[in-house]
Amino acid sequence: MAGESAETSLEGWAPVVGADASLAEIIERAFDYRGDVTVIRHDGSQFVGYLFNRDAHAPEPFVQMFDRNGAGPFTIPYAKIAAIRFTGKDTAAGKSYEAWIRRKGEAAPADTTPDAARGA
Amino acid sequence: MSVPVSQMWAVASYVLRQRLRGRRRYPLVLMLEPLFRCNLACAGCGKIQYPPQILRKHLTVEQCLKAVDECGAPMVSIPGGEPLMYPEIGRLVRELVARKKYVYLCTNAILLKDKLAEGLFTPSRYLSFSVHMDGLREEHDDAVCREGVYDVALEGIREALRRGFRVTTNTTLFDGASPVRMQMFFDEMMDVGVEGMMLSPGYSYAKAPDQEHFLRRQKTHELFRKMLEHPKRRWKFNQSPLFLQFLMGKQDFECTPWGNPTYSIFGWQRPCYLLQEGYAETFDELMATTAWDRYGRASGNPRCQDCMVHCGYEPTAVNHTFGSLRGFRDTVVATVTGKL
Repeated sequence: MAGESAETSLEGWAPVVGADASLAEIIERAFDYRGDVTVIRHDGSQFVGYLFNRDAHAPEPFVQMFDRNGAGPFTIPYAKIAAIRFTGKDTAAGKSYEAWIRRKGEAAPADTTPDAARGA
Repeated sequence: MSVPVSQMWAVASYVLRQRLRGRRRYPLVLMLEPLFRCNLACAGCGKIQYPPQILRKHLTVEQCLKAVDECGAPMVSIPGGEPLMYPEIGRLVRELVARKKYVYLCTNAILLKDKLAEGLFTPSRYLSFSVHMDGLREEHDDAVCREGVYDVALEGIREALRRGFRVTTNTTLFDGASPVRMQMFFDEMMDVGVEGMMLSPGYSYAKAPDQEHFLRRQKTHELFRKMLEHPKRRWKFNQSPLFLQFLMGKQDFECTPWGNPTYSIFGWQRPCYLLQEGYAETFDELMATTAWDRYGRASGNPRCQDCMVHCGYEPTAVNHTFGSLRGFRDTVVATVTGKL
């Protein structure tokens, strides 16, 4: 399974239910994921969107999603889900504080280059 | 303390009414997030990293007002996202003021000057612009990951004050904050003329990229003690002095996660403003079905152990003020003497 630090991502992960993790665990990962996922139902149909809520303790456990156009929320019972794939871009990836510091550090030398070195 | 008497009275009478009714859990401030879109991407913020279709979405004014009515809290804080990017922010604020809600519009103030010039807002004792300022120019621009924002925000603050608006600041403190620099910042904000300042240590959102720099409990006590042990009389804080004493390690409080309930396009957020563990459709459902005993320091929940953030502990401080003689006495003494 992919790591979870700010610099790594679940983007592209296509777990096999039961082998890689339980469905409930994969749903938890999808709930934490800041990107769209593809939910594959047992009947073969797919739903692509952002999974923003889930309730594993409801009488009929469910997930809630907004689709790719932002329409919704749509509710899908756990019982209808065969698999989930992390197909959307991870919108949290690469935006770490460390990345900001690195970018700042890379920019700084240019700003401090002596005029003579610039050919001024 | 710089909270106006009318606002203090509104909050005090609300709390007393709740207690007389025997309500064990009641909200104090509704955190109303009409959108997640923002014109900054701060390193400490875990709110803005959503796919584009989510960032494009926003609540309608009607959805906002329904949440306000459901919740019933006397104060409404409008964070986000950047609320000045909400297309109906003027109408929303007018409606809230008409309902006599004390509104804190939490903004980075990048758009403030323009929105004021457009005439979107009218000065009112019910409306305060709560401007995000994480310290002096260098610290603030670092925190928001963009150069020049401090100066733009300062311009916005000055313009709002010139037009007669209430203006407060809200400051999140991270590890490495310098007590001396923060004291200089307090002086600067008082020189500018803001009504009061709000302080809070940061919380390490699971989604926030800057995990290394959030304060742990002991460090929080040390930092706030150094900053506030001998506060200048001219420093005004727009928050409970007992909360500041808590940050200094002089009060021992437990979290009140239901004190500042949060409503957004996803619904009512469980269990608090910081932890996103799911959503309820209605406020009643949130209050009735959230397992509150799983949160707060005493619960043993590891995610709550180092949290000292205002949204969980300021409601505790306010309840303490109006719920015990000692709390009331401590608040009066701190308010009258200016000592924390």
